[in-house]
Amino acid sequence: MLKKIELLIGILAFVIALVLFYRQPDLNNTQLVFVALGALVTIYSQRDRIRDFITPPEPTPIIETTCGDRPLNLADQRLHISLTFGAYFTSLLEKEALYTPIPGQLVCAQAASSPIKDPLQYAMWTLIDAKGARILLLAAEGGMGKSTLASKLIRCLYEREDIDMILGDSAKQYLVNPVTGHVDTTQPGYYSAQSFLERISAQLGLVYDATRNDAQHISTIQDRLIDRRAIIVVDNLESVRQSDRIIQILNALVNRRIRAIITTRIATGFDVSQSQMLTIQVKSLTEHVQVRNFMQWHIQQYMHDHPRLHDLAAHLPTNEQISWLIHHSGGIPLLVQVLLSEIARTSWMSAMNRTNLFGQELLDALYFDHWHELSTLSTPGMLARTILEYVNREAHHGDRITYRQLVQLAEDVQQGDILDAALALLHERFLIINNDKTHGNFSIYPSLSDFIQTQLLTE
Amino acid sequence: MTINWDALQQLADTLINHPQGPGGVTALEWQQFDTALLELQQTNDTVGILTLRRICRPLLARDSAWGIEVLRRIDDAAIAAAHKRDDSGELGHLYGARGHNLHREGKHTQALNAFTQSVHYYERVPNARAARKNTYMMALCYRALGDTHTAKRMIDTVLASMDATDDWQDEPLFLQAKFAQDDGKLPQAEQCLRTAIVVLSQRHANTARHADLLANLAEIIGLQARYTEATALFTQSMDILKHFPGQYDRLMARTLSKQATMLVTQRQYSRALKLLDMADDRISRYGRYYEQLWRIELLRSIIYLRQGQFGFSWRKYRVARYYARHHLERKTDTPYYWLLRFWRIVAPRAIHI
Repeated sequence: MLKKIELLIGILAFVIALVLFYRQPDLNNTQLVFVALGALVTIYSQRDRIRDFITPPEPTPIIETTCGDRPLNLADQRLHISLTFGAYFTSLLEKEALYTPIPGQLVCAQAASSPIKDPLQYAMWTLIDAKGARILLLAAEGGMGKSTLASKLIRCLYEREDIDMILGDSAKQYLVNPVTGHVDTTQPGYYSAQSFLERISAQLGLVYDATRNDAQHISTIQDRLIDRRAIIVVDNLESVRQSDRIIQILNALVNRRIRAIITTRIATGFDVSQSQMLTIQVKSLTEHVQVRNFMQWHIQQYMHDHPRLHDLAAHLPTNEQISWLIHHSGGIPLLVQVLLSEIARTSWMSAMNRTNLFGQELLDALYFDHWHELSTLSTPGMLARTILEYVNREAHHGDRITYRQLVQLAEDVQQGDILDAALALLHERFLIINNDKTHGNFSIYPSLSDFIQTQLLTE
Repeated sequence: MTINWDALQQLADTLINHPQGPGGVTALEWQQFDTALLELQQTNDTVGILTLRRICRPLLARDSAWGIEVLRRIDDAAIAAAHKRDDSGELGHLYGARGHNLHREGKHTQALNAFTQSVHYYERVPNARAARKNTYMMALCYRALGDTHTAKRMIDTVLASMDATDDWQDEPLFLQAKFAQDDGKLPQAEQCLRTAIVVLSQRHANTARHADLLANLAEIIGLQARYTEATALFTQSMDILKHFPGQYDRLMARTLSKQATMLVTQRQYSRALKLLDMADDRISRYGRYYEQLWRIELLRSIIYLRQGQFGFSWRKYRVARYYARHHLERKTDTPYYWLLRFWRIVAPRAIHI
């Protein structure tokens, strides 16, 4: 805006000078001053373009897809990020082996028509290059890996030192009292554009003043973010009222150094130009080769916690088995992982005979079965449920959930000696993830968290 | 319900020593304080409330915990309980502690009121030593509000009444250093601070107070263009504070800001901005240290001006003005302080405040 004002002043000065010159062809000092002033202001206002013309910025090279593979050391930001985005998202940022690219899983129309064909590399480029889109929209159903992909991109930006600050929020469906721990589910759709602005303001040390309008708040936030390199993350936009308004706010905030990543289940209907927003759809796994590759990666990552996965690796699945897996999981990576853990625990035949459900229904049914099965597995099973409830509760408050804390939890109920057995039950069913084998960094998937919340309300 | 005092004490001890600071334990664990307070208030247990406050004392004595809501409520409840019991000694302490925290927030008028109350109650006890100390804090507040005359008068009264039992002789020396700095007498300020450090080190080396004095000494030495020596002192100060992770974020931010100011004098604008970013990140999320944020934004405005980025400079000045208008007692001082800072940076040995 300031540049435009400067340009207008320059043009105005020129126009006045031209008018004066036309009326009085003999230039005098006043007119010369006007012309000189106009020229100076115009040149000054266009200095960036002139600078780029004389010394064009180097084009951003194609980023390797391994960018973002290294876990982040969040250090001082950890508490802030976990309180903002929850323990699950935080654990993704700190996880060792986070993401495996699966050819064909990401779809991006803009990448297809660019020299950088790979959607992941195109997404990285767009977040880094000055000419890239400033808002990245990751769209997919639950369990597809949106948050995982968002985490990888953020890690990549940190690795390259293109950002030094994470702002934003995860649109929760629950209100959690951070002191009492009480989770209030009576206000779905609580989240709005105003609360988003409040959140960003608080993160920047600004107080949200209800007497000021949105434009004033945005202006102050912009002033606070001058010269900072930040990523604004809006997680789960579909659970927000006034999502269009939030996109407008983001549009106003993003620039060369400030980018935004949105994750949502709804990819369409946003009134933003393609040059400002890049959409990437995360598709389900439909090809055998995709599932086989993903399966190998899953086994390699979780074999330590679920040793029977090793047996699965020893016996390659048949095409029929892979087809069944794709068909019943709907190609949802999370559900594939849950099913693989189930298969490793029982067998292919047992799993295939067990259910004729599909997709999200199958996931919910598996969660239901596992939850009730745990209550039949004597004290280790009950402790396992207690652990899930605890991790779920703490996930909303945001903190690393360490092994020591789980030891304390188990000892409080005089079951410290069966903690490992309880954890083994959870790992075998892919109900808990541990991202730090040394000290522990336990979390659960958001879909399981939703399930547990529902169970606790109905029990 | 029986309150588990041992568990609460253990929790408080954990919070003070946690590597991530007070926020490093789960909210569920913090809930123990909340539950205990509710129980004590419901049973009108004034003794219990004061015991709870005593357990939280080391937390509230440090920078970072003041903004945690449950601790503020414990503090409020403790003051109310002490009033009910007409416990002058306790009220003197509680108001004094509150004054310290308000002073750190930049709410100097409110801090003055708290310290005045504290002195009043300490004089009733009587506890002359504690009253003297809070009178000294009032002098700090008066100086912060620009009333140097009253501040000097008060510190003279304090110094005249100090005796061998006062193990905080470093603090009046610190204020004398500030007065000397205000008058542009930098060598005298340096000498006062060096003496204060020697006095403090005899009993309390490597504490946050020690780190604060080092940072102030570094500032004075930097103003005398002895940059290498000043940088070493800033580093020493930060090294001490790193031993208390999450406990003194405001102090760290202040030290970083002071060092940034010195770098601006040396025309190292990029490094200065980097330090200001670090300082900003330390305190912005607490949402309370607006005076420090005001100073950071003012300095950024000056840096951008010196870099020829007039638009950025104006916008940073605008943010500083926002903080001053909405949160500080210095509602109209922003242009004055901006010019003063700018002058100080351009002519560092000139008279400054």
